[in-house]
Amino acid sequence: MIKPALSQSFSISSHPSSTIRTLKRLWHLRLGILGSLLILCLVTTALFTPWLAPNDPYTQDITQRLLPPFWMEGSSSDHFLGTDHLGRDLLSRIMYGTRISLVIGLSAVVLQLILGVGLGVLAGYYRGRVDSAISFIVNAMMSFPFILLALTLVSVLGASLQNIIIALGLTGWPVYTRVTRIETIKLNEQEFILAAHSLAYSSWRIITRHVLPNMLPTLLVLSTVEVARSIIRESLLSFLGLGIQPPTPSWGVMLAEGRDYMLMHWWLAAFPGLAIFMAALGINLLGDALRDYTDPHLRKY
Amino acid sequence: MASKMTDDPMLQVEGLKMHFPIIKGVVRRQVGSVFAVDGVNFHINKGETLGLVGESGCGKTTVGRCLIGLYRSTAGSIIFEGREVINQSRKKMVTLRRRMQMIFQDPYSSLNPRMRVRDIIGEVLKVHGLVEPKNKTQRIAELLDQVGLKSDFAARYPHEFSGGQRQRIGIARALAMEPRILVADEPVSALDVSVQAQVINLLERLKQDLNLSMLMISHDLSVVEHVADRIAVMYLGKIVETGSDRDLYNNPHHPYTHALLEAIPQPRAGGRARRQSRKLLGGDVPSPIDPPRGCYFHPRCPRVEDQCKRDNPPMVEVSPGHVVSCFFPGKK
Repeated sequence: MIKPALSQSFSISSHPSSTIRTLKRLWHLRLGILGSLLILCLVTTALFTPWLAPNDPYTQDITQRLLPPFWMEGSSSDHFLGTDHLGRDLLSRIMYGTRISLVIGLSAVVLQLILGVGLGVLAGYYRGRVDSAISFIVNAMMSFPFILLALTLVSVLGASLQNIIIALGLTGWPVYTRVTRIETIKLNEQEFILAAHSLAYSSWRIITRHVLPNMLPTLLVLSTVEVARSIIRESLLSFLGLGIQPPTPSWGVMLAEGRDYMLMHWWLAAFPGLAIFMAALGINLLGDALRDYTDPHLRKY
Repeated sequence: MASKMTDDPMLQVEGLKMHFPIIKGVVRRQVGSVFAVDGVNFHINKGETLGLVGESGCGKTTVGRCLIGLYRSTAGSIIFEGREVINQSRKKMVTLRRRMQMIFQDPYSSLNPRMRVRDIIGEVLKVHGLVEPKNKTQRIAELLDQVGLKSDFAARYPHEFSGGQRQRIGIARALAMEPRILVADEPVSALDVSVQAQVINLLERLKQDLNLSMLMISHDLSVVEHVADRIAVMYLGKIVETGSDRDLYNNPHHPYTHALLEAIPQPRAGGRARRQSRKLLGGDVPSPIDPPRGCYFHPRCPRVEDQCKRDNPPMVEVSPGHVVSCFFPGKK
């Protein structure tokens, strides 16, 4: 029986710290590097926007409205990517939008993790009726269109940053439940969990010290993908007018505003769209790299 | 070794049954049961090793897991050091079962891959408060030494060890609980033959040094022969013959035991003649979901009579300490 652990056993001799080993392996994955760089840009922008952004994202200047990006005729050196229909600097707005997207993506995933992993572990660990009930809810949730559910939640709660996070959190958890449930069931058949039972450890200890740490790689990969998904979903809600409200610069809001000018001033919609694309791409590439790194069958070095 | 033994039973198991329900459909209706263990009696004396042998699927492992408390048995009693273990409150059971520990079959899955050896063993000590925190490191080194591992292995992860070493870590973890009985569930079947002997010898030595009792579950008669003082043969959830290892090997009374012994490959001059005279069992083990009426062994038995198909055979004591469940116990 070849277990993943067995194929790792070649690294006996030296003991570099695990962080260094992780970095070394990531280095071998070029797409992973690209993803990491994109994420790095994203995070840096989000953290230092107030100092990096060339202009205030809210200042309107009707005389400067609908300016094109720098390489086109009639552009202004003050506005690198041009201005929108109210004369606000597009680049600055996109940079401020990074913060909102990241905050929403990360908080929504944290909420999804708490709900989804909690329920999934309960279902997989206790089985029986608990499992049936939780699985039923998950199946019901998954067969329900996300957009309808999220729209209902946001319209009931009202559109604000917190409520969008709550709506994304409450609609996104079933994926985690499915994955953690199966992982827990798989782990429960491993002898080290049986050993933990025979050593009379408490259920809490078994779950937190033995079950959860062993599904960390899976959860890590799933979470990165879900961050990207949440960012896209936030844009979607904002685009439909039920997400972040103008004038707050969210990528979705900007996309929606740009739609009306698409024909003559394509950059208004194209740049926020590109930002969403880059963010999602970066996170997904990093997620793929993490998956390859944690799966010994795909590890080639 | 026999001199060390006393006749006071450390563990007494009576009428142990483990029926797993088969549940089907949306309404979760029970449509049947798997009779994995169906009325098993045995005892283990202080300092004694009982070998439990049988084919795969006969319920050996289930018996072990019932003892340890991994399964809640359907019926029967388990008396350990004079006290009933079954149906106790969780807290009481923890203190009772602390002194029964298990060694698992697959050393590749029996250790948490995300914990260092010192945490795997240290966790036991910490959770049950077995040593003062300041003495923990020393105790871990002691336990590792006891199973023949170097103390500087404590900082490593399980994947850095070979199968035999991993099994030793598993044994050290069990020993940390200061058990009186070890339940060893096929402890060497997943190991290379060259390593098997080392682990078996380790278990033998520990048994002597710590005056442990042991239940050695195995399908490998050569392993059991080497270690066990008494042997119980299991077939389809029941024990069909119990006796001292000498009685059982030289004088098997149950046709199933007989067939098991015949099946041991034996390198010997003029082997062909012997091979031809061997009587190997035909057929498969019947399903434990729907066991045959009467004696469970009758569909495969060479001495089957009408009575065997009707009634359950009684337990017959053919000589002191040698018990057979057969209507026609005999040599051949």
